[in-house]
This record gives sequence, C-alpha cells and structure tokens, in this order.
Amino acid sequence: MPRARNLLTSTGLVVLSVVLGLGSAALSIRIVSRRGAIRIGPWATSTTVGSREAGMYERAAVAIHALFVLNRAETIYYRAHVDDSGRELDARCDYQIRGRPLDSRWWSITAYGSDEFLIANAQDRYSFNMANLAREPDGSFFIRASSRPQPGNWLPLGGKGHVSFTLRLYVPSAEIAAHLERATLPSIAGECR
Amino acid sequence: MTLARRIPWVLAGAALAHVAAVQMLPRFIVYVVRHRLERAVGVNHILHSPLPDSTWHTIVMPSPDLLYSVCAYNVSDRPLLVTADVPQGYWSVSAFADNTDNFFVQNDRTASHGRVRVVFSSQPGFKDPDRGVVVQVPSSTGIILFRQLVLDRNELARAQQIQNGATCAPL
Repeated sequence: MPRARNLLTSTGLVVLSVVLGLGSAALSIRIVSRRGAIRIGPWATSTTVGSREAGMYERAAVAIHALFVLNRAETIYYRAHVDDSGRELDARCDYQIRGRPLDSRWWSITAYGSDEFLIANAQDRYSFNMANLAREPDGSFFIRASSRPQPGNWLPLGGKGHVSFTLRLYVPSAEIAAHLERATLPSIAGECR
Repeated sequence: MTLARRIPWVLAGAALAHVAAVQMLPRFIVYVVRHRLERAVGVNHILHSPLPDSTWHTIVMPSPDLLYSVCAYNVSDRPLLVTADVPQGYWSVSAFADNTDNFFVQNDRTASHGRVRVVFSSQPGFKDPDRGVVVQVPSSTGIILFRQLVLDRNELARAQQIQNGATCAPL
C-alpha cells in the first residue's frame, strides 16, 4: 500500500513539473510577444524579430503570433495590444488612431482578432494603407476602429474579444531601420461603452 | 523521500519542460505548416494563394494587401530553383529556416533585370550553372514565401498572372 501511494505521489509530482514547465513557458512567450524590446506609446517591436539574432523566447513568440515575419531591413512590424492609456484593446470599444505618414516605401495598419487572423466583416475591410486612407487637409490620417459603422476611415472590429493592431513598414527608411525607437507612430485613443 | 526533498526535483523537471517547450515550439510549428503544404501541393512545389480575407487561415497575421505564394522546401537531396517575374510595385521572395529565422530576402528593387533566379542549396560552394544567386540554407528544410503588394483591386487579375509565373522546383 505505501508503495502504491509512493508511486501515485511520484506520478503526481512529474505531472506537476510538466504543468509548471509548460505553463511558465506559455506565460513567458506571451509576455515576450506583447512587450517587445522597444516601446513607443502603445506600440511594441523588436530589433531582432525574424532575424538569426532572435532569442529562444522571441522565436517561440514569432512562431505562435507572427510566423514568417521579415527582418527589420525589409519590414518593421509594430504591434499594439493596448491603447494610449494602457488598456487592453477590446472589440467592444471604439478607437481613434491618429498619425502622420510614415517614412517607408509602403505602410499599413491592420486589425487582428484574438486568433491573430483577420476579423470578418461585411465590408471586407481589414486594413488601411498609405494608398487607400482618406487624409486630413494637413496630410495626417485618422482611422476609426469600431464594431459599429463609422464615417471616414472605418476599420471594423467585429464586436467581441481582444483585438490588436499591426503597423507594417515595408522597406523602412534607413533612419527608422537603424533606430526603431525614433519612429513617430500613431496614437490610439480608446473609448469603451 | 519526503515531499520537501522532492521539491528541487519538481522544479528541475519544470525548468526542463519549460526550456524544451520553448526550444521545440518554433520547429514544431514550422513542421506543421510544412506538413500541411506537403499534403496540399507536395514538397518543393509552390502554392499560390488569393488575397487574404477573414476565411484565410494559412499563416497567422496575414496582410490583406499582399498576394502570398508559399513553398515548403527540402534540399537534402537536390538544390531548389526559385524563379519569378518581378512586378512594378513592392514584391519580395524570402526564405525561412525550420526555426522561423528569416535568412534570405530579395525584393523588386534588389532584384535585377525584372526576373529573379535563386538557387537554395545545402552544399557549401554550390554554383548555379545559369549564374543565379545561390543561397546556402541553414536548415535543409524550411519555407519560401513570396509577397506581392496589390494596392488597386482592379489590378488583381494582372497581379495574379505575375504571381502564377513564380516557380519553386528541384534544380
């Protein structure tokens, strides 16, 4: 009987080890994927993402959340999971994304659902880019991200769960590629109902 | 052994599981993608995708402005030849090792003469008889991804014609 109990305890401790190990790994990867090494307001990025210099946590985060991203000489990806005040982005809220054109060959802002895929909507509108954004008279832009129809540049959010925004800079200027932290990125003002 | 004496072993086991999971995850996920592609079109064959929308679940975080073509490569036996016509707007071909590292990228501006010819090989010093760019791969298996920007939906048919001209096949 004591032998059986001993075996049961050992098995339980092995299971506990594995659960602790996998749970802490999942948590670490999530933290790395969201925080990024460089933060500009609500946006986060990394100098090593997609490159051979990436560490093991960054590789794992890329594999889950941003598979096959290009290195920063080709493309820079800034991701936002929170608004300007640090609140988690939520599809039930309305967001105003305001900014100025970015210094790269081509740039876009895309909304993603919690599964990291495009959000279904009747308009088939998933992103705005430098070519299809209606601009303000001073050249700046203003995107309204919301699950409810909005005037102007409306980016539909779907209506439920966590969402995120990804700002892509394809072939960024040499200045930004060398100093990712110096980019002037859009603000994200949130209003929740 | 008392429970207190087992705690260090539990923590050591947890650390081992933690590191193993983090280290293995990228290769596992790339393996799953490769496996799906192999089932769809085979290894060293190209798959051309339509513009991503909300039903597109091939690879996470797709850009809805890009046409993607993808090829699961395996150069264990023979080098792989990739060719493509280069359009006017943004276009790139990139290669990823089985641990997700982006080890090669060429775009429409770095490509010469409007056409790309790249040979991926695992053999050091391999020379392409037709003088294409030769890339020595860090892993014998991985993924090659083409991206083509489509800003005007009226140009989609033309863009897809160019997309369909890209090839990925053993040399």
